[in-house]
Amino acid sequence: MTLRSLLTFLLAPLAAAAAEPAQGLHAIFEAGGRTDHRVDRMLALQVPAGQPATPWLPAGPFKAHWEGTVEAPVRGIFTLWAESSGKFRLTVNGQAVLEGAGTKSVQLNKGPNAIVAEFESDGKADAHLRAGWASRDFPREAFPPTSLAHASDEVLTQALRLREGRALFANLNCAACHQDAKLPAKGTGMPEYGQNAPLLADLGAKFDRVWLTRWILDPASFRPHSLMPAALNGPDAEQQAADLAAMLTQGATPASGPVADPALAPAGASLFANLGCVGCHRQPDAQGDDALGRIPLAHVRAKWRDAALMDYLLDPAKNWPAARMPHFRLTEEEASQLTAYLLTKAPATKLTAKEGDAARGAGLIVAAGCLNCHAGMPATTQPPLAKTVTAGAKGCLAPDAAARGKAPAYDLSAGERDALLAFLQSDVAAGLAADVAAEFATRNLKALNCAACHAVDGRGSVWKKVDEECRQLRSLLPPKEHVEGEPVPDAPVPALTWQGEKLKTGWMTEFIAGRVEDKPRWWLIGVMPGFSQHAAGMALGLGQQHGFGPKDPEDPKPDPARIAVGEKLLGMDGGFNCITCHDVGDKEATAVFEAPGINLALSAERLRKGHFHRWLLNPNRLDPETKMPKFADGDGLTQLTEHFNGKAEDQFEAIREYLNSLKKK
Amino acid sequence: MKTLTTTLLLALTVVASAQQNLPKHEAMDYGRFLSASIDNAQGKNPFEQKGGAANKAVVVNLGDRAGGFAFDTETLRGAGGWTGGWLRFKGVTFDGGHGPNPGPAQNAKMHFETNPGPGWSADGSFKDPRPLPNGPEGVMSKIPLGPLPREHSKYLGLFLNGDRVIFHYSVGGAELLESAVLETVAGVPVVSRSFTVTKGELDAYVCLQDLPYGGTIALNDTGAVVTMKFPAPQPPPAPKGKKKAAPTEAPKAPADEVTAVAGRGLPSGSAFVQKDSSLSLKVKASAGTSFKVSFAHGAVGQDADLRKAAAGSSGAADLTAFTKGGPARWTQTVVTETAFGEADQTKQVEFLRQQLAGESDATAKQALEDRIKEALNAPYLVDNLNVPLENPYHSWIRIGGIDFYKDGRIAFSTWSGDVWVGTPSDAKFSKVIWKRHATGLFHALGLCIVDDVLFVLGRDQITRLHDLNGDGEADRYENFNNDVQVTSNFHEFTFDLQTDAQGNFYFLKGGPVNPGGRGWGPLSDHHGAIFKVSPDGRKFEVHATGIRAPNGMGVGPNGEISNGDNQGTWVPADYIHFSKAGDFIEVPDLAHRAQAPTKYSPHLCWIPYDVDNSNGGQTWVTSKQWGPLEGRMLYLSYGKSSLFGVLQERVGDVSQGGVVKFPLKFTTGIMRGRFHPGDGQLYVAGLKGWQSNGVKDGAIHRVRYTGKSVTMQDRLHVTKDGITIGFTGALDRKSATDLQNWSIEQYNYKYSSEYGSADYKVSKPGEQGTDPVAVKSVRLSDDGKEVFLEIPGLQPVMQMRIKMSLKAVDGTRVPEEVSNTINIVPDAKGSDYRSFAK
Repeated sequence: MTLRSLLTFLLAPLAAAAAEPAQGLHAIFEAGGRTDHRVDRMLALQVPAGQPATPWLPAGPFKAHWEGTVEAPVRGIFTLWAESSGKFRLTVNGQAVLEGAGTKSVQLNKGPNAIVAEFESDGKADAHLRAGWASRDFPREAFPPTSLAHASDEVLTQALRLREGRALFANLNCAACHQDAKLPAKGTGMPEYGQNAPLLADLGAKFDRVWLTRWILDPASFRPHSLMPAALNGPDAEQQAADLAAMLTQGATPASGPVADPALAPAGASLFANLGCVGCHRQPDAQGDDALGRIPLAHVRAKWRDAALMDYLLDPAKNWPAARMPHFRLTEEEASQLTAYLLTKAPATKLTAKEGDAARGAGLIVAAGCLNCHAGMPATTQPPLAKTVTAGAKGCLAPDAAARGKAPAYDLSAGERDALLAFLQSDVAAGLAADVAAEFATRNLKALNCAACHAVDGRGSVWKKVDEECRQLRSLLPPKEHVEGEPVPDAPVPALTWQGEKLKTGWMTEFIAGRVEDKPRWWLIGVMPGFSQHAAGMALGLGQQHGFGPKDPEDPKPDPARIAVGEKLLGMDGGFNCITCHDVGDKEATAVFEAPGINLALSAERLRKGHFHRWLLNPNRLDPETKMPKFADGDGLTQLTEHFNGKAEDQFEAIREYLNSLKKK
Repeated sequence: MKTLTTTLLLALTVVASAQQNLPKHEAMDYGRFLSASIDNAQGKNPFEQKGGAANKAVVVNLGDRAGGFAFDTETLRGAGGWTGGWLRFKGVTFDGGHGPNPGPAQNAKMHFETNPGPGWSADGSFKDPRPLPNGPEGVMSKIPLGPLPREHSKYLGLFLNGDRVIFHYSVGGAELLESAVLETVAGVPVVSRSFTVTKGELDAYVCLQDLPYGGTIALNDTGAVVTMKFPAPQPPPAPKGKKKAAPTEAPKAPADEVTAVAGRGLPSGSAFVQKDSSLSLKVKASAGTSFKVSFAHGAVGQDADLRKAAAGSSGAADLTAFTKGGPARWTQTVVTETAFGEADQTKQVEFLRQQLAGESDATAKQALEDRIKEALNAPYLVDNLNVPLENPYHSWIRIGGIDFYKDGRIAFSTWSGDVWVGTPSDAKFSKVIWKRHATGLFHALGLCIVDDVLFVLGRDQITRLHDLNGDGEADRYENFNNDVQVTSNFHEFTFDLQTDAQGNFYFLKGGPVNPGGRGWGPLSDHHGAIFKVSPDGRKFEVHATGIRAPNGMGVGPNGEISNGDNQGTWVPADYIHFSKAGDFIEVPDLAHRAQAPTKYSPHLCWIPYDVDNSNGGQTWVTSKQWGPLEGRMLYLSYGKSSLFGVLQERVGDVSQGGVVKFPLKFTTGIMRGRFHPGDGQLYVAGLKGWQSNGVKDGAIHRVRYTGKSVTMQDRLHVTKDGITIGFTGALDRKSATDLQNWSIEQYNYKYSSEYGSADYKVSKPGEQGTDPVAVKSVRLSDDGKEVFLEIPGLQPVMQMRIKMSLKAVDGTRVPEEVSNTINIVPDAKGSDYRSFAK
């Protein structure tokens, strides 16, 4: 037995006893004498000058330090690289590898290799760092999130708890009731902070009064983890809820329009599967618990008036700009089909409620504090923030009804209450005053449930997991022979892992916002819905996570000779046959067969340069299932030796220049 | 004979293509005929049973693309004759389109056309004796397929002479020749069908004209006047998925047209017969008789002129004069110089040295130095025979089959229907003189040479080519066997052509994949099968069924029949399969059995999508001059333009194994391989025609053994204790026995009607992903050529990937992955499988 294997043998039980390492690196930031911890998906950052590196730190000079491991598939030589705007140092397995930007080849062991990275910014210019590796098997890339891991410790756990508490404080709109002069003004600081709850308009036209009463009494019974608390309690709660509902629905005429037509339900069921609704929501007739934690819809029939549901589906953010439900740009026909499906499949639950008094409700709506959140009125409730900070686990944060007293009941887990308490014990005002886009993106990947439809960092999407459910939903329509050129249900939805590196910020913003008219991947059965409220922050933040700012460097002046070569390389005759599968502007692909590609005329506005090259050099490395061929070998040479001596990178750059020239036409 | 060098030719071609500026499929000189499934003039395929559409047509080029005559070789039917251009070159081989087939030129004037069905009839009923394909309702073709029964009528082949194409076939007990000709008589275009009876007594009706879209037939004393109606043209199809087509005005039906039909030299007792909307000729003739039927075409009101023109065409000639071979047509040869692999090697080393010069990092330097050493010590180099991609005939050189004559000459066939023969200047193939030998074949994706006779697989038939006058060009295209059924589906390719030691022929046919890649068109009895044809061509059998898009097979020295297949419906990933007669392989829809199977038959191995996404053929190493791999099987990847060694073991009658990639590069999607009878080296060929990382339209590469030491995986055994991998050379002990240099993962695929499959964990079936496989220990045999990986608890798994980072004793890198399948985990090692010719 060698010494190493002996050590491995002896240490193995110890390693097994420790907690399973989590993905990403433990990041430690220091600025202005303060320290902050978080987990970073990537060994990368982009901090604009004048902005802090994390929400808890002052802007200006800062230091960042990452630690964790990078996992190699087998022992071998890897070329590590970094680009950095400041001081940088990378240590692998205890040995200094990089001092500053550059490359260095080292042997990595199979499995985890300890890495420590240190970065320092003088705060004068944008701080920028990207680091990664390359090997003979794959081209230069940032360390993939799936290869990075870290062990947790109490300091990091506390920092993450603080972040969770901060997000809850903002999303639950705690400051609407618990006010404090020191808090930032609404519309400043953390974007989620200070958002009003839905506008209480036309509720009678939209909702059933009885349902509304039950909702006011106990929102979480319909919608687990509802942001809205059960604000009424005590013996009069039922009557008060009825009064509020009476007031809110008073004098309303139900929205007029088509009534849910059961004949449209099968088409609606298909849409429910094909648009990915099924990734976030359970089917309306689903029973029992859902292992995937999707939002139930069993109440839709009790809640909605037919035409109003259709209106809502057509514009979910109409009365609530901060709505998490995205805009699917449905046609009226689609919306009526979905409505029919939802309303005919949901059970006809018989709810009961007392009759209410609208006049009493009118008084209550102010007194109970409803308008604090729903209209952004000055708080009519108590106590102010300063008092809650010292109160501890009382009121809203009490673990049980007895301790809660008259305070509203939120559907919070013990961990969430702890997180909120932790945040309250920090400098709340300072914590809300600033935000960084990279963290906004992290929070909202979760809040907007991007993973419902997209794989990210090696974890599959919910949508993919419920394949069988989708198949059943689609089977309600009579089978239809697939016609070439029509979307297919099982084409893979792009993973989010590298989008921050791949897409230019401007285009990504438009795409997330749902403002890109033509679907780039026209063969996907779903559509990317619009998250207009979050788009800019998400796009900026995802870019920052990968070390990119909002502006890509200007390309050098186009060279007509290279453009001509690029055009040739795109073609069939002496080229890579890109045009077989890809449209180029108005020119249709010549022979798409199960592998349609994105219109290449979009490349210039969509793709960052580095990712364009990385994709072409080794498409399967980025997407093991892609049908895009790989033309370059491990040495970076292609079989087309007529141009640039066969150097792949030069050839691909010529293609890029040609594609850039299309944009300007 | 004129000979052009490639440089001069290139200059000529540039001028020519600048003049023409045509896409390759338009610019190509296809010769005197083109074989294809054709649609009718309205673009309707044969399933519609209307007009001149045919599943197996030979379309004669009349008057240098002034007109066409389509002959259906299955039904011996004159499917159509027209003027106003030859063909519209639509379809996957031409413009790459999915769906439409070639058909009469865009604005062709149809002198006549006949509906699908027998072209001859003993009793005038033209009743089709063929049964419908056998299988479930709704999925099978609703029209009869394949050739008519031999005793009814049989296509025997065709002869070429000058511009003439002479069809040769039997009708009942008689044999006859037929040839179409285009004449202009008093300004009127006349298309004629000429016949000569060569054997027996002809006593039958020949179908002359149908009216698929209505019209009238009026018999007269010299023949008939036929007035034809035509349908309004179809509006263009909606553009794909994205936007809806703008509504257009309903197109109007074109004006009626008229054909006058007249006989020339008709034997006594002949008579034109009208039955419903069909015109036929009853004819009784003995051997030696020649006669002719002419069709003059024009507008309504021109009847008198047309009748005069039809009756005034030239007299019937004796066609036997055209069956002895005519003057050579493809007289310009192309000489190419072979690019030897040493040049690429030098280039690669220079490139690496440049990198080395700019590198300061010691580890990176060492890695580059290792790469250079490896490049210089390569045991195999790839030469490029430089096929005549540029040629005076603009023939589109996409290679579908290769083989060798005994004297070392090489022949290849192309997807666009050519056969070329290359004569090497010396034993090294330093230069090759290429001559065009045959043209017009129907997707010639397989070729073999038996006793110096060329056999070419087309989608319609196996053609035996004869050079009757020794001028290096085929003058007789004999129908060796055309029993295989064909539909007009764009994707039902036939592939490869191999023989076994007994002289039987084998080839493959895919399923009729729908445009876009999903599901199937109407099925025939032969979709998705391996076929066996007896050495004399008389007997055609289905060997095995259930394959999807199998671009290549192998026949081993001892009759081992293998095939590859292409990921898609019911095919989760590419695989290699060994079959026996009567086997079902993979795709239940194409099983052709009463009960659709619910399980695939175990394959030798599955192949990961990123290793091979589109298969080629398999070639057995039958040479002692090609390094240490004699008796092994090789696997070619079309999609990745790569060559693989195949590792095989047999455990009882179960085969299992895997593939390992040669570190070699090819410029095209390689799919056919042969060992040269002289130099004993491997020649591989292929094309770029659908998705591949190949960059050249077609290429032939020689994989030449340099004599340097070869250390690569050639054996694989699985037992309950672990995996044994054998190597052809000794490994560096330090690297081989370091557990850190080994990594194994495994996963299963989902066998379903979906297109391909994701990877699914073995540990959590149903969850996507892969599982690592822990290697407990690694041992290297004393001779350094065998590694045992201790892995307790192995279970059958569809896909295993064994990755390694090893060096041979000479310091060179060993191929880094074996992708394999475990069908069975025996207690003791199975037998290593090699095959040698007896």
